[in-house]
Amino acid sequence: MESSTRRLTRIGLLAAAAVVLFVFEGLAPRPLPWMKLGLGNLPVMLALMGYGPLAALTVSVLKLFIGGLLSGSLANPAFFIGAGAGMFSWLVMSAARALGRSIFSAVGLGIWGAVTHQLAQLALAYIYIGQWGMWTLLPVALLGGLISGILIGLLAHWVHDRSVQ
Amino acid sequence: MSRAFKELQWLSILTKGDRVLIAVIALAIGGLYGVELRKEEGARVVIRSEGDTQIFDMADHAIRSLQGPKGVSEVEIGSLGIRMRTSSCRFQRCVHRGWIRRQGDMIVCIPNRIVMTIQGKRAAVDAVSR
Repeated sequence: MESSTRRLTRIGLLAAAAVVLFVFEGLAPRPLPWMKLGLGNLPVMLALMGYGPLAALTVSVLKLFIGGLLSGSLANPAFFIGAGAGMFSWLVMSAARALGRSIFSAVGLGIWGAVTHQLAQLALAYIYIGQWGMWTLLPVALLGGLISGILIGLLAHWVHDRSVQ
Repeated sequence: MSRAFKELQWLSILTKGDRVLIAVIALAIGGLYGVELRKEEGARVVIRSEGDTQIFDMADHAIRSLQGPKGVSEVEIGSLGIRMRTSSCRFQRCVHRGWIRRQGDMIVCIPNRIVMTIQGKRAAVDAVSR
């Protein structure tokens, strides 16, 4: 069992990494506007896998607020949509993890996280703009979520294997 | 076998749950794209901005300017369909959406509060079963 200081330090480092990845990803050019890899979710997943749901929540909330402050998007509609989607994605990933790692590996967690993030984003945008037909974006959102979820899940599996223990 | 190659064998880390999840999502995507491709091309476009609704015929090619809270957005109706030509919003998602032309297709600009929907000749019906 790791000491609490070590645990705190690790979670702090993961939160710092999440902020950097989140801001960096916002700056990087995107081939398609809907294709965001979700690199910021990687430290959240690592916190979930190494230290449990509460640690993941801490990393996710710090990422959203500090990242939002740094990128200047704090408190605009896009921020609230992203933050809501982030919370929903955390909830679903935590539930998937709680089922046990023999049911879903890191790749499964990554897919759950990315796909629910995409779906929640669409749902919140729908609530905000109040128009049906946002759902024509559903297939693209699902495809993007599936691909980025697999990639981030593989990265998380690989990093987790080498960093914890 | 080199170590780098072993790390590429990622299929082995997938659990049964992972595989089922991937299969279900892939099927959903396939089904949704199938429905999308069977939609007919639209005839009219409904543009809503700031509580204002305008309807244009898609055969009348034109460029129109709309005033939103973030500034002016230009809508273009052309032979490829309709698109947001320019927009004074930050992320330009509406512009990147490109041309749309099928019934039910939609371009939404959240920052500038513009929604464009394509309708058929008659009332907006998704499909008719015979």
